[in-house]
Amino acid sequence: MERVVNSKEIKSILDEHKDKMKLMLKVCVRCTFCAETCFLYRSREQNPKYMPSMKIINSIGKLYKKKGKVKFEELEKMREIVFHDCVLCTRCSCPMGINIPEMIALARRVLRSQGIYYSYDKEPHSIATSNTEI
Amino acid sequence: MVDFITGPMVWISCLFFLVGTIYQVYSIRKLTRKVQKADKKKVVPEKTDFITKDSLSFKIRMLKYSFVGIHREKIALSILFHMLIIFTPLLVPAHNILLKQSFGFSLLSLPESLIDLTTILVILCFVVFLLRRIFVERVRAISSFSDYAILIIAAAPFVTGFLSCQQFFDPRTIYLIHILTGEIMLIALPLTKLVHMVFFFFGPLISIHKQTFGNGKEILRSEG
Repeated sequence: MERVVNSKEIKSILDEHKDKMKLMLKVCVRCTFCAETCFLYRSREQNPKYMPSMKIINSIGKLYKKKGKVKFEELEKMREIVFHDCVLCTRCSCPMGINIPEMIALARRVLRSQGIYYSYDKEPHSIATSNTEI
Repeated sequence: MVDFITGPMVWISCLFFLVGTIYQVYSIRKLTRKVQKADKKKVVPEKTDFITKDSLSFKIRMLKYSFVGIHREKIALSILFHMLIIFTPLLVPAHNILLKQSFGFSLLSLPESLIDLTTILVILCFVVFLLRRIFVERVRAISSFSDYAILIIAAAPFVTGFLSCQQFFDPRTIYLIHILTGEIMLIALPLTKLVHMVFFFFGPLISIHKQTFGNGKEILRSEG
């Protein structure tokens, strides 16, 4: 059975932070200077998927643009990005002053509201073997 | 058509650029204030919280560990490029003659040979940025059509200006294309990501974030 996404609930969470997301999307110039401030990007063969800007554009950026009207599969993809590809160490920085960790945390909140999260106890392989996934 | 491009269109594009840029500055300021207000309401420190706030000197010392320290050469190239792209058109003798004819005043004019040199440098920078966007994997991964388009829109007036100055091809046609591309760039500036020329100066200063120069602080909850 296909899981139903509660778009209204997502939208209400997004609306609380609408200004922040608008500001973030407005000022990001895709310079990729944030890439090296992420230790995962540096330690995993500089795979672009670990770039902080890439993570926020493909998670919270997508949710904002679609106003929360996303499919369950899309949320599943976002789960990989915000729970697996980011450990929320808050060490990333942006030349334009975007608060990247806050955006990732917001994306996690949206996903949790839909019952989507990482069960680290049940899926330990996901973190432990991620080096070999690349 | 030619009369329109060299006449009213120049005024329309200049006016659009000015009004649009002022509006963008106003909108980002308004947006940041809203964000600041929302943050103040949201985070109410409790007695058991640890509130950490980095001093300005600490932030400056930490810069070498951030993107500033990592991309020293790229940032130097970027600053040079942005300075040249802003000041070169203002210091072109031909532009200043037109300014004098229209408004009765002119800015400082640099010798033609020096302007040629700065224009070539700007064009080379554009080529480097375009190649970077095409061939560097991480930049390509995050680029969309608009990123390539704005690079071409910004480069076009410099390329056509150089060709026009050197009298390449049909000078009259190149001159018209130069004016048209300049007007397109001015109109595109407040509408596209090119507006980052304004945000670059405002963003890191007004953004409230522990790592930026905005007055950011972090509240660490002792539980939860």
